[in-house]
Parts: sequence; structure tokens; C-alpha cells
Amino acid sequence: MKICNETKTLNFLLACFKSLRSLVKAVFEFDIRLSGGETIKPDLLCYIIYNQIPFYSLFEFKKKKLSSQLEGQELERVRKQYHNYQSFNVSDLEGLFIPKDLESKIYINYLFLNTHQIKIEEFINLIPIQDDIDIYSLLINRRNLIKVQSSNQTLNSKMMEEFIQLSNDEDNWNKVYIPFTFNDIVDIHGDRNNTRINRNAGCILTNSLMQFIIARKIIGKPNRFRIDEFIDFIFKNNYRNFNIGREENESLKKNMRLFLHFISEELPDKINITPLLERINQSEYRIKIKKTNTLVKRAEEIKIQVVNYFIQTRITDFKFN
Amino acid sequence: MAKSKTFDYKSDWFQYFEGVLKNEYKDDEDFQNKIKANIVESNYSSIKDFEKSHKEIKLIPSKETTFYNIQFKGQRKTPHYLYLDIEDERFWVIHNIESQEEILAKINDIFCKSYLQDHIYIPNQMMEKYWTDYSQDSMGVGLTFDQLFLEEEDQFSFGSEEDFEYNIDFTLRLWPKRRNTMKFILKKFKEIDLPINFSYLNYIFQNENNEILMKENFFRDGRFTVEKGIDLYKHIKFIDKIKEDYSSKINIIEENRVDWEKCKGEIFRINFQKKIDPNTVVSILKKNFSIFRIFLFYLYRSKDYYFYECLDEHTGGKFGLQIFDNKIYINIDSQSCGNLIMRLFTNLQNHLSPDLKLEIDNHESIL
Repeated sequence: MKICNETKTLNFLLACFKSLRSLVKAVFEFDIRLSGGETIKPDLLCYIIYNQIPFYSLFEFKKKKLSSQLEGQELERVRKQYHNYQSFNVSDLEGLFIPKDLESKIYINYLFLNTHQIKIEEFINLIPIQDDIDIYSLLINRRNLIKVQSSNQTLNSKMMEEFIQLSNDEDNWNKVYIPFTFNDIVDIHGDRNNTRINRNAGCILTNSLMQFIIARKIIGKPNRFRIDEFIDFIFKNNYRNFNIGREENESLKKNMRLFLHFISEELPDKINITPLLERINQSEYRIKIKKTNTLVKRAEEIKIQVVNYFIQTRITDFKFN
Repeated sequence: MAKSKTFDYKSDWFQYFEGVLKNEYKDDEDFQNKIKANIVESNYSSIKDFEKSHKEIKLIPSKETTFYNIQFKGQRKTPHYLYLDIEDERFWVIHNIESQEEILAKINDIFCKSYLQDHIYIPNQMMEKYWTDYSQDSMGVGLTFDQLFLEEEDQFSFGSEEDFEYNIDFTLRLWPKRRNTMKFILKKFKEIDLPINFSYLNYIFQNENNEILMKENFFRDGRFTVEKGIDLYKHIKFIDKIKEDYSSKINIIEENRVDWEKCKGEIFRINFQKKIDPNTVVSILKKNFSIFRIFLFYLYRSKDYYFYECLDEHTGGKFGLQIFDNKIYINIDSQSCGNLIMRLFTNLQNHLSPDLKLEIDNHESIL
């Protein structure tokens, strides 16, 4: 299983924030309705106290392949997004999920992930992006954060300078605060008859399901559970606690429903496996594995079987495509 | 005539135990056993919940809400008694004068290895501090190092074959006549890289006339055994001191659990002094479940690195474990019990290397 670049970036940023002890609150992929009626959804919006002064730091992650061209509708969408970010005011915040501090400034950071310098410059020119917007390049594989342009002397740029220094310390790339995000398990599609789950999502969620089953056995909770309980368990202390966007939350629930449906209804037809779950109704399932001394060993065996299924499915798909 | 074995007040129990200490009941064969105590860590929200989960015992309340008598049947169906002090809701103290043979496994089953109950785990640094600080008259120590090498075919060497000193297991009881001698011996052991791992300490508390008030052994898993003495209060105060110190460490750990709703908390770091193959650490954790009480769920890995999502058998708490060749990162959530950090760290010290260090990321060392 691979951790996606967005998750790696989030963990790196968290390591930097932790190191500076500056993060007060954050929202991830959170929808904010602007006074003009438009909606923005930055990848990460942080409320920070740095050098004893509070401010907001907005992070927009961008990934551009060298071969891709920014044009047409996509260019318009990104331009609109940029202008929306510029018109974003603290008064637009509801104050329910992140503090509404009207005295504090908002700084915009474009963070290019594993993107060639040429594509970053092209992006800056095409939008075009003003000089006072901070732009950074994050080379995840090389474990390096580089300044592309910054509004020098602002608190945000000073903080980001420190992030650049911190990026030279390998430890800040090693710390996993959040093992996976929505981006890692997004690829689940289907309906009641057929679910397609990619390898990464399948492996992560199978792992989580096994933990969920064993944790319930340890705690002595009933076998019957609601889908919400499964979601809460998976994302306990995960980035969901940052408050993710409403759309992402709905998507997450839908994906979990599809995954549990797949495990209970479809999987036993595909591989020779002891049924793990039984569907009671649309929102409830029952764990079918009994608590015995060999529970963990069996759960491990089942997990390997299910994970192997996901891995093989992908290989088959690849061959046919 | 033997006194009643259950008490209405803690003070009655105290006077009775002090009588036992002073040999007032020496003619009664039931009272030949030593006074013992255990500190245990409890996550039960109430004593009623504890009682409900342990049908094998009979909880007999006293007239004080923080003191209980416990009765259970031994192997020969004879009744045995424990005295439970829950003044500290988190760290309970169990007192007894039963035979160790009968009682040790039972206390382990009921109080130390069951759901929501655990031992305390005192790391080597804390033991060394206690040895140095708490009694000028402390003499003996027990040193135990039990390297957990799996099956024979799994054995490994830290370096060349000459590094055999890291493949030894031993238990040493040291009883020198003078404290300075002990310091000298330990210094010499350290010079030859012998893993110095305190398993227990012997304490002698004296008054100004050099009269022994209390002589007892204190073990790293929170057990106390009184050898002899005349002042039970010293024993009780000593238990309280250890309990308070351990509790303060657990508080530091729990204050630093990661909570993203509040954007607070840090990762915990166990630093190795020498590189250790992460495979070895993983194998030790997996093959010694009864010691570590951790379920590991492998999520991903790269060269010399593993990431596991884990469950703590003690509370069902969830945490992340990153194993490198020179360190371990532990990320526990705000619902998990801080004792798991002490359990993991102390057991790795006991069975991998006593030199391991525990730190909170972006903070100073905890110990």
C-alpha cells in the first residue's frame, strides 16, 4: 500500500507546525461560502499563532505533470479559484469549525507537489498570480521544500522560511500523524450489484475493518454495529477531526457503505472466505466472526486473503486494459 | 486468636497489618507470610464496573468508599483475602499477606492482565533514580536482562559474532555491604557494556538510631514485598511516593496524546543507541503478545521501515507505530491509555536494550 502525496504533504506540514507549536486549528477540504455567493474549498486552512500573532494560512495543493497543459475550462476554473481565494475574508467564516478572528489576516500559499519548475512558472504566468502570493514547491521524493516566490517579511512567509529549514531535517518527513486521508481511499465506485474498489482503498479499509472487529471484541461491544460507528473508528484521531468538507464527509459515508456492502454481499462469491459481516439493513451490519483464542490469527489470515484479492483484481484489470 | 480477615475501616486494616509486621500473630500459621502490595493501573470508571467484570471474586465493601475487602477461592477452595485501596481512582493499591504462590498469578489475572487493568511498568531510568535518590541506605538490587529472541533460528547478532555480550540473558542479585561498593560494581558493569537493567531494589529505611523501620523489596512491575520492620507507615508512604511519581509520568504522556480536534499532542519517540533491524523489533512484538499486549496491523513499509496501526489489548485503544532501525515513533490518540507507552518502552528496555530512551517529540525527555 502506498501513502498518497497529499497525505505525505499533510503529515509534513503537521510536523512543521508541531515543531513551531503554531497550529491552533485547521480545516481540511472545507467548503466556505463567500459573501459574493461563490464557494471555496482550500486543501488546508489553518488558524495559526506564530510569534504570538494570530493569522490564517490557506494552502492550495497543486500537481502538474510536465506533459499536461493548463488550458480551456481547467484554466478558467483555476483562475476563478484564485480570484475567489483573493476575495476570501475572515467574515466569510462561520466560526463553527475554525475560529473567526476578524483582526487576523489571511495569507494564501500555493504548494506545488512534485511539479517541474517550468510548469510552476507557466501556472504563475497563465493565471496570472501576483507577486505578493506565496508559492512553494514541495519535492516529496527529494524531501525538499523550495520557495518559488513569496511576499517577503509577512508572518506567513517568515513561518514558511522556517518550514523550508525544517524540510532539511529528514525526521520531519518521517513522522506519520495521519496514516491515510480521504484521498487514499477515494477510489470506490459502484452500486448494490457491483462494487469496484482500487487496491489502495481495499487494503486500507480491510485493515481497518479487522481492527474494528477486534477492537469491538476487546471492548465487549455487540456484534451489531452502525456504519457510522465503523466510520468513527476508522477516522478516530484522523484528519476527519480537523473537520473535512461536507461533500467529502458524504462521499466518505457512501464509500464506507459500498465497502461494507462489498465485504458482506459480494466478496463471498468472489473468493472462498468465511463471511465476515452480515447486512441487517441499510445502515447496520453484524460481525459474524466469533471471539475465540485464535481470533487475531484468523483475522490476520482473512485480511491476507482479502488484500490478495484486491491486489489480484488490480493486476487483472491492468491486463485487460 | 486470629482476627477477622475483613475490615470495616482502613485504619483497622492498617493496625492489623502493623501487628503482622511486628509478629503479634506469629503463633498463627496463617500469618507467616510477608506483607505485600501491588500498584495496578485501572481504567474502570467505577468499582461497580470492576466487580461486574470479575465474577470470580467477592467484593466486600468497608464503611469507607475507597477501601474494599476482596475474597476469592484458591486452588484448594480455601478463601483468600486482598485489601483494595482505591483512593487514587487510576492507580489502585492491593495489599495482602497471602502466600505468594497462591496469590501472584491471581493478582496478575484479575488486576494486571485483564481488560482495563494493567501492571505499572517502571523504566530503567526511573529505577536508577529511585536507587540513587530515595534511600541513602538502599543496598541490594536485582539486575535482570532477558533478551527476547524468539525461536533459535530467529536469533540475530547486533554486529559481529564478537558482540556476544548482547546475546546474554542473566539475573543477578547484588548484596554488597556498602553502597559505594555497589556503585563501583555497576560502574564496572557499564564499562564492559553489560546491560544494566534494574528488576528490583531493596530498601532499608532507618531512624536516627540506625534502627530498621522498614526493609522491603520494590519490583519494577509495581510489586512490594516487606522483609521486616516495625513501621508500616514507611511502607505505605513509600508506595504512595512511587505511585505519585508514576502517575505524574502517565499524566505527562496523556497530556501529549494527539488530539486533532484541539490540534494538540505530539508523537512519542523511543530512541535506540545502536541500529537494530526493524524486522527484529516487529518479530519480538508479535511473538510476545502476553508481554506487550499489542495487536499489530501492518499498513505499509519501505526499506528499514514499518508502519503498523495497532490496538492495545488493555483498553482496545488505537495507535500508530513506526519502526525504524534507530527509533520507534508512537502516535496515540486521546482515547488511548498512556500506560501502553510505558508498557512498550519498559518491556523493550527489559528485552531489547536497557539504553533505550523515551522522549516526546519537540519536548525534552520524559524520564
